[in-house]
Amino acid sequence: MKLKEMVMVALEGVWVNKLRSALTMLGIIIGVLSVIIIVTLGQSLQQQTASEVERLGANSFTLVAVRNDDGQKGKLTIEDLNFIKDSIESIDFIVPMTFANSGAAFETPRKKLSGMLIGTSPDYLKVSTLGLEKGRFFTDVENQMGRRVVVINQKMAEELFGTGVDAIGKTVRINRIPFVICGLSKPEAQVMGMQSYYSYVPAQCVLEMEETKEVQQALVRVKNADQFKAATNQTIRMLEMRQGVKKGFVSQTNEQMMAQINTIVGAITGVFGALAGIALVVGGIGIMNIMLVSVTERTREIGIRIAVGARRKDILIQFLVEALVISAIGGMIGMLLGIGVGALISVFLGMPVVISYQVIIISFLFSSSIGIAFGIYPANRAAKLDPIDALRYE
Amino acid sequence: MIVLEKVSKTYDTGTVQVNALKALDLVISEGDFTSIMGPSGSGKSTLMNILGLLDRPTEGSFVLDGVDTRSLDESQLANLRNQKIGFVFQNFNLLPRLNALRNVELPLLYAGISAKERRLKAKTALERVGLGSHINHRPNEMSGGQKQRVAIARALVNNPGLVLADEPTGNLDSGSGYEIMDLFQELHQQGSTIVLVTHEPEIARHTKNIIHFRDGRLVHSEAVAEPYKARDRLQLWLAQEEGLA
Repeated sequence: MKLKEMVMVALEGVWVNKLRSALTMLGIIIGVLSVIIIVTLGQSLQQQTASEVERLGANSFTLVAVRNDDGQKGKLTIEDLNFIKDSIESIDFIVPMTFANSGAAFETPRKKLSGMLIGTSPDYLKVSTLGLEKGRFFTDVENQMGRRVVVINQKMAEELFGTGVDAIGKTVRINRIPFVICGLSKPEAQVMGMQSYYSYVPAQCVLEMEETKEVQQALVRVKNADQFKAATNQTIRMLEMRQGVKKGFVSQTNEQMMAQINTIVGAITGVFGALAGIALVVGGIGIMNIMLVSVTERTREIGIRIAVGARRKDILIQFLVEALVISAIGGMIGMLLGIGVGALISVFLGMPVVISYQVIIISFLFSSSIGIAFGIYPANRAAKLDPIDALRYE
Repeated sequence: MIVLEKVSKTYDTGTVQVNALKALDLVISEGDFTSIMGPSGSGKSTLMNILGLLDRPTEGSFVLDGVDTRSLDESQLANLRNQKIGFVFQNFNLLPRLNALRNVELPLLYAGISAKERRLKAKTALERVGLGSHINHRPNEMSGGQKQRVAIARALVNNPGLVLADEPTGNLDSGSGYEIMDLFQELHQQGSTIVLVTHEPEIARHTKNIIHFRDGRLVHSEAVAEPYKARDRLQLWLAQEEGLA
């Protein structure tokens, strides 16, 4: 018998028990669906990290003060950063980044909200995707003077002042200190679906609020890639000499950051992917179960087929192809659903949609092999039936 | 041509050994129309299973058309079943979800014949048994007699030469039984070799030879001097039925 004919016979077998076949397929569909969703999400997340790093540029590194083995801690003050910037020729600019540790309360006569407050400098605009809806970012002068000006999120402004009210020039109290709004920012890219309100003020303002002189970290941009390593070492050595603290500073390149994040995301994807793989195996057991029932039910059919000249091989292949058809169709449906749902979730979480064709092909092949693996035992049982007994079977 | 030599079949049921056939010698020539009679347990069915290559003798040889079947493997036996043997069963053994045409096509499917040719041959076979107008009917839409005719068409479709019928009229009323026997007689005239198991003496009288079995042995073989003509018996029966009604 030709393969095409075998597939037709198997398709009939699947079609006769539509509901049963569909329910069996469901197991495979769910398995493939979950594998694809998880892998798609994992890869989207990695892609997002990669594009984030790309935006920051390969010529940047993050500078953090740490405590050394002797218990001494380096310090990153605005003065330090200015000193470094002025002393090292190859540095393009340095952006201080410091956060209000316990968050910030934003208050107008109308409403009170909590959000994130970031103290930085106008150079921040060069390293972020932050876009302005209206008004302007604070200027270098405002920054140096520590003027109390703030850029807040457009949506936040609507909540604080009401829709349709022009918030530029209005005052909002942040942790009870009045700030004048100079700009409204566009909604920022969400991180894993969490939408927070970020507001930006001169770094000096946050330092005053927190009653400290130290910023938490600084982003250093180097002019040329070939000066990168030298600039990094020079920066750290200069800070250590200036403060007399050895090993008090750490630099982290964006590649290192990305590698770390990728490792974590990869591990999470792996664990969840394995769990989804178990769902796929359970689906395979479902196929085996239903194929065993099918073989028993169709004992007489098998006897008839053998009597009219089917070889054992023909019977084996008929049932094997039936199992394969169920798993392959299930795999295909799961694949399409997986791509759809994965893309939806990515869009919903504000991540780039990455559809990996390798994953799609692998999960399709995997589900098909599951059909064969779990179909072999029932099919073999069918092929080994004694035709005389099978013909008498009621 | 069927030649059985010293064929024995022993079933081991675990506790007792059943000797279903005991050193049977039997020759059935091409074109013979033979019926096998005997009480249940006499070895008729075992013989049919061996003739049909569904079972192998424990001892002895079965030569079919010059080929010693002992030397054949499973797939060669399947091939022979497909090409040389047609089965007709008491309970028809049609596939319920396939229509008459598809049921008749089944042996051709395993013979590797193309779909177009299968259809044509199956249709011809169904026309030959008088069911040309029923090709799209499923078994549950047909009477017992019609089902058995589909089964006969299936047995014939590959031009097998040997037709093995195991109680083909057993589940049919007398009228349908005569119609089936009429069909067998027609096939016999066209040259088919037919072996038919029955326990109705009247049905056996339609064939050319009757072989009697008892306890796994051939006890008596007789030639039927003047076989019944199924068509005449059918007319007679119809007249009787009319008279009773």
